[in-house]
Amino acid sequence: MSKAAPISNGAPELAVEQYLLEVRGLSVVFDTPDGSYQVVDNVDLKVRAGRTLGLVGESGSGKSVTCLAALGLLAESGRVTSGEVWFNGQDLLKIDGAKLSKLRGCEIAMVFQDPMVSLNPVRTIGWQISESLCLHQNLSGGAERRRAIELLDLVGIPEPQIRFNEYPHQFSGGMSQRAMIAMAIACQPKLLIADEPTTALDVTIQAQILELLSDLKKELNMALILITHDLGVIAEVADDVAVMYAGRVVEEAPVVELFDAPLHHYTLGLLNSLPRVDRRVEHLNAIEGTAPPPHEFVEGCRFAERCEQSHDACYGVRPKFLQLASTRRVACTQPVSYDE
Amino acid sequence: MTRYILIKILRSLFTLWIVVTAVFFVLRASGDPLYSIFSLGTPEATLDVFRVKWGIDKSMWQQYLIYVGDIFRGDFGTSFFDGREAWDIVMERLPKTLLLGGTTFSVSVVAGVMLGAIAALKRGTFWDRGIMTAAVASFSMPSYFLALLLILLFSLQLRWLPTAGASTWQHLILPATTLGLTLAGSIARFTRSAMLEVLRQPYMRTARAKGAPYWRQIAWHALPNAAIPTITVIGFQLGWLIGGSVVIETVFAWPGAGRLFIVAVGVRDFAVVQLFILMVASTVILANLLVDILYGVLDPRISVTGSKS
Repeated sequence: MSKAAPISNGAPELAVEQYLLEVRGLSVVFDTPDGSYQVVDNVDLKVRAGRTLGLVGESGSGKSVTCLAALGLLAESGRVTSGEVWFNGQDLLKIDGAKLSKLRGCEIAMVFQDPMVSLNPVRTIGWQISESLCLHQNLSGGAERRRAIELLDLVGIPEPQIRFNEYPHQFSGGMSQRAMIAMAIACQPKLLIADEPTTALDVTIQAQILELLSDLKKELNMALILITHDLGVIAEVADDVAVMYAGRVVEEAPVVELFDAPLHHYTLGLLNSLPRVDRRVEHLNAIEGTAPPPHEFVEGCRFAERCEQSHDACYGVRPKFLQLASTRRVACTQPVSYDE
Repeated sequence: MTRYILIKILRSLFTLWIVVTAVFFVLRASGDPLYSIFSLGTPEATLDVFRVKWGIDKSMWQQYLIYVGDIFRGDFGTSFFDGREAWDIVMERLPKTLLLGGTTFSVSVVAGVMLGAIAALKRGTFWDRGIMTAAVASFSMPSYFLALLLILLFSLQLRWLPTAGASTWQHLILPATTLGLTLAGSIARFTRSAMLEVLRQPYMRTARAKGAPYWRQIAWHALPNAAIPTITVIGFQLGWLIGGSVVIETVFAWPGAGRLFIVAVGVRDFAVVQLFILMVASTVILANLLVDILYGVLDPRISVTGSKS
């Protein structure tokens, strides 16, 4: 059994750093007419100030739900059954609704997957951006308008004075997402959560939006959680990565290490299934099978069924995390050796 | 825009023409008005004098052409019954009908929208079920039956409100409630389903993610969107303001145009009946036009002109 050696190149200054957002043991259950399903199972996440955490996984792996739950934005049928979400010294799951409302859109903002339906169709873009300002900042009407136009300009919307008075249906998908981003960064949040911000957009627009997010992150010195199923996006934007599978985090690593030496067999599978331009491949190595739906979640390793390396120890008991460095861990009984 | 309005107006005129024509011929097919106005046994010679005087001695087609021609000159004919201009008679009664209809309409729109919104927001709770049961009950019950129940309870048992007449504001309460319950019930149902649809839209989540307080999410984000489908049913009801009052005015002896209409039908008072129906048809058409315009105001995605800005 080849055990992965600890990685020693982890930057020491990171070890003592305070986390901006820390999710501990978060579990979320959805109640449906057919029963209750635990779609997020004991998830831990850590985001450091000014860094980008890429949250990657297939659809249904619980990435979005984890973030929505952290902000108290779950749909009616969802509820948090355990866990803590620490932000700025307070547990977001414990503070009252009004306080959380004050925090949302101000210190933590969120951008959603489909910008075309995430903007209110009967309100102008300007109105919707001004609203964010109005809710959290004391500006006069004129100043609010000027600031909103500034924001539109900042996210790269041409002719912001004219666009200010337009409605969402007059915006293209890419422009809508820019407007959503303008709305989210209106109050200069410390943390921006972007939930698949480019999935609904054309490929050429995707790159622009990612670049915009990266630039804004630097400019405003905010942290970013980028939820995506696209490893290419992760490689481009993320500093740290958490890989989720079937409601659990299975691997955490700084982005370079993850791509260089994935430890979880699922991560490895994901990487192998990427089309490569630097290597000659006869066929893409897709992972066999599909991710289990919530009603088929088991206690043991949920990837074991699809894993080529699975053995008895993988079944029955939830695999413990193997902490390899302060920023690197994997939940696997027999991780990929990264000498391979 | 002008082209759009022109088409609308032409269509409306066409509809009105069909209504006017249909009513004209059906009324005349229903029988000779002289037999219902004069007592039995009046000599035919006397009746013939009146036939000539009222112009109903001519052929049906001649009468029709004269009638339509007169309408264009603003002459809606004379009442056979008391010899006055039909226009004057109807106008005299119309304010009472508009008072009843207007009160009913404004109260039931406010109540219906509020109750519907509450039902949607409290979905699946006691409130939701209570409001919806009441709504279905109110609009599935015939209005005259509801009227009698209300009279029994509030006038005969409790002796709080007068049963008939129109002299004080208390007289307004029972007929307005009867008409209004039906109206509010259907508006509440529509508002509820429109609200439920809106509440699960992603932009409502955006509003929450922005940190908008609950009331603001509802008032500024949800309601303006839910108003778009709701306005259809409200507009439809607005058209019924005058028409719907016919039965209720009779039950409560409310001296409005609806009651006048019932009497006029009974004696085949052609001019009055025709004018009343023309008015009901016009309100329906105007209400529809209003809905179209409101759509454009409420929903920026629909442009009334049909051209994209």
